[in-house]
Amino acid sequence: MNIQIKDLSQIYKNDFRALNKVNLEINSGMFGLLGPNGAGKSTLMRILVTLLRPTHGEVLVNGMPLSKNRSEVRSMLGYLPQDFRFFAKLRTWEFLDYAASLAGIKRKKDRLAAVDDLLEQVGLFDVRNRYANKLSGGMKRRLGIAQALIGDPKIVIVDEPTTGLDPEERIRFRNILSNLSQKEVIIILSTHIVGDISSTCRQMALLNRGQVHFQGSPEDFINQSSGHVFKTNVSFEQMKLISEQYPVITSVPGANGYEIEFVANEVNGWDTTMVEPNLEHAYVYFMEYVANEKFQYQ
Amino acid sequence: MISFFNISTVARFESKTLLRSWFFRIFAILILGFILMFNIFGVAAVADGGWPGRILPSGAPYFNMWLLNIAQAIIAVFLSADFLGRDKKLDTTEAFYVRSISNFEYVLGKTFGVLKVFVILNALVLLSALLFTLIGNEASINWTTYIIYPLIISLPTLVFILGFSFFTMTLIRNQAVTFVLLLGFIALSLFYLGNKYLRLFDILGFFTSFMRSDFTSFQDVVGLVQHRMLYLLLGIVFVLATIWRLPRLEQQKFSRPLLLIGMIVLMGTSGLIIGNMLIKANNTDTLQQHITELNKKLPSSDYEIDKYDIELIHHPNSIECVTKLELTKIHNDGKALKLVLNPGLSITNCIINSKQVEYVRDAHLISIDAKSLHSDKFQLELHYTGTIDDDALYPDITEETKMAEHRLDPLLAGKQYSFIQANYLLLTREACWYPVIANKQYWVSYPFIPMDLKVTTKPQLEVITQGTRDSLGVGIYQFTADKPLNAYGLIIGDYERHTTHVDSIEFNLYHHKDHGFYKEYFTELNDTVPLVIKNIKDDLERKLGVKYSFKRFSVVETPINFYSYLRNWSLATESVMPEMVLFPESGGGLWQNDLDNVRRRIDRRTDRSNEERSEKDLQVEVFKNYVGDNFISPSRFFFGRRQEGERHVENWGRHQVFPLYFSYTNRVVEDGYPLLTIAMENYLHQRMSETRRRDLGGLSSNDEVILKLRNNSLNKLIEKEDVNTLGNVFASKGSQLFSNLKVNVGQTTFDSQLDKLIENTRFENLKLTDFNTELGAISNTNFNETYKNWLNESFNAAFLFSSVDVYEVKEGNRIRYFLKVTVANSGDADGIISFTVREGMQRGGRGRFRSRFQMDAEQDNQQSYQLMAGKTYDIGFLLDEEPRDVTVNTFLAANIPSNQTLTLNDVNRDNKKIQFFEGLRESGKKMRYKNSSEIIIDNEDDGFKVNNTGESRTVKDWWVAMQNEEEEDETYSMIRFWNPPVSWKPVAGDQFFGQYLKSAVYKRKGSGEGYVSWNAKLNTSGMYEVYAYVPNVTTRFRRRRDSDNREINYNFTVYHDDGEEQVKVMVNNDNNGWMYLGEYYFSEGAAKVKLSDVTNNEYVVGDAVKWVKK
Repeated sequence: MNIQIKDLSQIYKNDFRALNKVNLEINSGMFGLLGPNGAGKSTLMRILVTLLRPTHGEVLVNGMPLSKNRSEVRSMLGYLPQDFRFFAKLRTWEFLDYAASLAGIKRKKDRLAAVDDLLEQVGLFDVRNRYANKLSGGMKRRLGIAQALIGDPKIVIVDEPTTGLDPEERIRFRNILSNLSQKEVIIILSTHIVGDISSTCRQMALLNRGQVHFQGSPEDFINQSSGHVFKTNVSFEQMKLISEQYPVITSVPGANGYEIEFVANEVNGWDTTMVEPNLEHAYVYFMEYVANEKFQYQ
Repeated sequence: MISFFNISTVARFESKTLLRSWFFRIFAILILGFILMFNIFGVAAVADGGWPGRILPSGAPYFNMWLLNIAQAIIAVFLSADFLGRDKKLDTTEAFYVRSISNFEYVLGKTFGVLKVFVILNALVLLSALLFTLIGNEASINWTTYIIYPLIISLPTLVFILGFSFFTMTLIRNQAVTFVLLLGFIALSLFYLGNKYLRLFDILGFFTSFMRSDFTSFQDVVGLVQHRMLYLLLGIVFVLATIWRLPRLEQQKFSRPLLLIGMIVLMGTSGLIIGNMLIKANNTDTLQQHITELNKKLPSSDYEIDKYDIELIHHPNSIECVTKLELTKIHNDGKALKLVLNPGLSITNCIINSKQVEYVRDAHLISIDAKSLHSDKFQLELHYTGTIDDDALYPDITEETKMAEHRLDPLLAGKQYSFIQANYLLLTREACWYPVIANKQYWVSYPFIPMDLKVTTKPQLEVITQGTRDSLGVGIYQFTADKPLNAYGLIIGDYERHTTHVDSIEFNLYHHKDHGFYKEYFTELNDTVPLVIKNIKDDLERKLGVKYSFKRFSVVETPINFYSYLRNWSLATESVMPEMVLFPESGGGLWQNDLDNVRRRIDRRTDRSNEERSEKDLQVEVFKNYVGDNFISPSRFFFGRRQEGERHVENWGRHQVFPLYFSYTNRVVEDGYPLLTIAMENYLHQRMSETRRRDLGGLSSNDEVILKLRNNSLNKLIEKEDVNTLGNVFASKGSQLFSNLKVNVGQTTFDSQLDKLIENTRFENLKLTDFNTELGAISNTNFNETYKNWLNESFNAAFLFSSVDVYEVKEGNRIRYFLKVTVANSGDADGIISFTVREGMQRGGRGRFRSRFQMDAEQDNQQSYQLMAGKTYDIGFLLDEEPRDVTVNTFLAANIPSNQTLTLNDVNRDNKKIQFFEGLRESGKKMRYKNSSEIIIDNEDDGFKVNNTGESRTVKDWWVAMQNEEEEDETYSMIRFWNPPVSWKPVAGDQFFGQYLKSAVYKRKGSGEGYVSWNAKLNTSGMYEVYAYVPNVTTRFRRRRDSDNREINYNFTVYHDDGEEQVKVMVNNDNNGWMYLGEYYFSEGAAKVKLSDVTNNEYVVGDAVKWVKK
């Protein structure tokens, strides 16, 4: 499976450029789309799932232009929208049954088997007869991923799936997705939560203000910030000063002050130790220094 | 490719969620509950008061569908507005939008999902209708209607409303606004557009007849299906438009062009249907206009038909006739022979004296050149074939009347005037299925001509027509004329026939084989039927004074969609033909034909009076009620106004047999409008009807005629106004004419002579001059003169009445009662009055649907007198019992109301020696409306002024005012106790004061800004007593309570020389009439009294004020 995004632009009626000449190549496996709120992630997702017609550019799925092959592409898709809270008055299993029918499982027996299978997978089998509205937030999300996965889609697109979930739910969620990534399937995960990507994705892209700032593996992304993450101890008074100078990522209060981690291109006047960066560091570094330098004044 | 799997998936889940929505559940339960209740009580009639329409063929499923359709249209609006709204609100929808399903499939699936739910609802409703019809076990069940009704009533409405709502929702995107808009549209279509514009806006089928006859099925099936399919198609167009507007990217490349093509094709088809309807309507209009134009130009004919000899073959969808006419040329003015024949029948051959001749056909007219004929007598043979074009019938009936629905509370039956089908045929005179002479105004009075008729039809069918029947072979019958008749009807159908003989008259009942529901009510009656019929017949003939003169009488059940119109010039409609009454199928859903109800009512009455009556007695009574209420004196409790120009035959009265005693047996050949025939018909018909008092005030039809005839002669009116609106004028003038004729010879003599004249001239085309001579002889008057005056004069009598003095007198050993009343005729013409004196206590009860047909009807003591202009008379009556009330009818004198109750004075028991007398005595006394010392200003006088400011303060006021405006054309209304008008309105009635016109004005209570004033001009200065007339107006419908006699205050202001005096007058049932306002000094000149609308009552009445010089 392969998705190519070419020169994709989306300009809304109020002249807001949600996407600006985006080029991306996505291959099988889990793909993380990282970016701050308003970066254009959802717009890109909505174009990919055929809910939105792009202003310019094209998306090729396995070489087929998306705009001319909606039917085929749709039959490969599973989609979990960003908001997934309000349901028609259907029971959990009926909801999945509906999705399964639309995904093209025609035989009732097959459908019910698929439904039960997925309910098991996402741990909703016990509440299968409960109305979908009555599920908890986490359960709704799981139901959401279940409906996206039903009918063995080739492309699964999940938009901000972990927002508002507690850590346990989030981990369970990631596991479901990473299980899936063993197959020949493209999973596109859009998020502004760095942890979602670091634990699951082999490929990623960073989107900011409608443009792709980075595409590659998470390791490459982290490497970019190598040597720019520092650790130091500061007194309570110094804390204010340093947080004005650098983006502080963690601050652990101690007896005499804080132990802090921060990112910077260079450090002057502080007694610091270098820290091995993780994805979160990299993201902050990238957003603060690279992105701003590169694109701020365009 | 369209995936049915996708559609059914979406549909399945849509209907699932719908069924689970509380809104739908509550609505569905409500409507189902309501319908269930109706079916239990109305259709199965488990308790009292079943719905009479349940016996109608397909009445129950029709009504169920009709009810459901209104309810489901409203539910559908709410649901469908919810449809896309829900999609928008539910973010989960997007998860489904990305699935591989086309927009077409998606929206169609949703639509089917909604429809599916409604199908369930429809099925439940029909099931309950079916179940309770079975339980009720009265009506036959027609299974096809249970399939057809949901398809033609429910489905098109639903699809249209759904599509329309979906589409509106995509445009407006605001649920509340959409609701208002859609419900507003439905309301508009229901209450305003209604049956206008070819019923194109009749989405709910409210103005479309779906009545199915067991004889002939639906009226105009093709038209019906076309009309309903229109909504289906347009609904689909809207659904396609919704797909077009769905906020989702289309799946396939060509889906949008395909959608567009689909919409265009469907709209085109709808356009074609509408176009077709327009063309048809236009053709009808054109034909009707053309016929009317041709009819206007018809001269009087030179020819007369002496005899018909017709051979008719009944084909599946047409008739084929060979008609031989014997004709006489009565004048030789060189006019062509013009005949009338329905334009749907095309002539194949036209032969005169065995020689083929040319003819010209123009609409309904056939012109044949017969000038060259040498002999006066000749034979014309016409061969024609075809069917009856209903559009050519009743050209004189207005479009508006024709458009009016044939409502059977609340279902709609069709309006078909003739039927030619494979298993059924119904032709009446109006259908022009046999040729008649196209004379000037031929349609108002047809000549009596004998007819021999040979009919060939399917062997199993019954043939019903006039004349003596012989069977010539299988399915071939010969009918030989007994008498010349002025109308021939022919009915062929699969009938069950019951026959009995009474007074050597053959009585037949023909009904549909499945309509034997009446039988269970008459199980004991078998041998008694002839006797009961004889009783009824004798009773009727005693009242009417003339005898039945046909050899047969048949009651023939006819399709429910058969309709006939009432005409001004006759009390006969096409529903009565000589020898037969065409009775509506299953009783037409009328209350009096609901035998179950009739029986229950009678049982209840028997229970109440603790009578022991045998089953047979009870059945006899049911039978008498049934026959009486339908054929003898039909009537029904009825709120609402009479229809203009319909005379005495109301809609439910068209099956009365009266026309068989006059309209189809007697004819005076009049040139133009048959005024004398109408007068005589009306005079006879009145013998059957009891005079009823109008308690509500307001004008009777006779009073309206008096107003119309003010300064107009009858001839002038006919010239000036559309004769179609003059029915009541003809009737009233007619009874006035005959009342005049009675005076010289006395009622009894006149009546018996007139009856003889009628019976002696039966089935004759009586010449006007002969008739006039005869009538002159009977009435001992110069009738020609009377007739001329009656036509041309506009003078009126005008009567003043004293109150009635009652004395207890001794005649021999008997105590009797002497009544004396003084009457003056102060008008400019002699006039007739007729007194009705009722004695003793009132008998009989009241009841809403009580049968008025009573064998022992109370005989009223009625007496007519002629009073010369300018003379005063004393009139005396001698009674055995104390009088209850005295009413007087002044016919067309200036008095309004023309029927008034006179004031009875207390019985004088002390003066037993008074000189009593009976009858008329001229009196030397002068009667005056007022004393010389009095000045009276009545509300009809110039000095009376009304002030209407300060109205419409509240929405309710405004609404009432709007309602009043609708009735603006009514001059004198009746008092509406429950809803008095916002501004002063005139009312008339005998409780009011007035010289000849007893009237007043009234208005709802107000703030004092509305008032009336009486302004007099006093000739001399001095002290005057001032009185105001406050009439006693009490509602006679409310139950009497103590509070009904509470004191009502009236606030008068008297303007006199020393200023103004506020006078509060207290009025109640015992204290009213001329109320004393005080004694004041007035200078010569203007004087004024004012009445304010401030009162403690709901309304205030302003009538008259008088100043009496001391």
